[in-house]
Amino acid sequence: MYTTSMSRPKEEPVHNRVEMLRIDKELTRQQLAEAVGVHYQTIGYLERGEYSPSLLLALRIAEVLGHEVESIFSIHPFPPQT
Amino acid sequence: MTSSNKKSSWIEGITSSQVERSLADTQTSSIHRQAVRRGLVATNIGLMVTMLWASQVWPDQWRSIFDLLLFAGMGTIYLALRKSVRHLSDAPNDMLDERQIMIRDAAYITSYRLLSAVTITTFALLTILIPISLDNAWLALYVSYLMFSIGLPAMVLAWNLPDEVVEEGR
Repeated sequence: MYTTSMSRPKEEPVHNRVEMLRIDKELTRQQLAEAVGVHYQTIGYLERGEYSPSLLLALRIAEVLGHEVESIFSIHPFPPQT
Repeated sequence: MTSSNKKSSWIEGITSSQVERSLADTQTSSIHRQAVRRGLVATNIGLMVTMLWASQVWPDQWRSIFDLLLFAGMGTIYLALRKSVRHLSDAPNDMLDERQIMIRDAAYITSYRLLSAVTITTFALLTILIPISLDNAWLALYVSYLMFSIGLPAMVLAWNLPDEVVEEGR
């Protein structure tokens, strides 16, 4: 569906674990942003669930964080971490 | 995402170094807060409406000075608005990332629709307010603009879209 909304509709969220994995990797938002070639605000919006990345960006993030893309992004909520 | 050259985007009225500085700045000042940005938008619209209102009610000898002040105010707010969005509205694509391009393009789509609606409404009001005959060139201009405005996105898409893929088995 084509939309002019500035972020993905709330009813179709893409859940992610970018913030948790970035912190595990001891990276700042700025460092991750530089590694994947985007602005640090984009990482911030992504972590807040207010932006869903393109497949290319998701693959780049997965590569930098050293995880499979489906373990970072999901259309289903991730189980809470204990 | 960014390029280090100092080229200028003359149409957008911005230089690469201006965009680079804005995007590299990690400080979030008050101008980057949504409430402040919306205040700037409201003030800008207020100044435009005031200028239109003043053109009708103020005597000419005072209006030129008043218009100059309003124009200076609008210019200042325009520059502040650009800064408040870190020049995203004017930056060339090669300096932006995918999210920034997406929100910039979405803003242009909204702007196009608003501009079309405002222009068509203005045309319609002028057509009603100014006594003209139906065969006047004014009406032809209005109808042509109306059809151009509502049809332009489809025309651009029709021109640019490649041939569709034929579904297998058909």
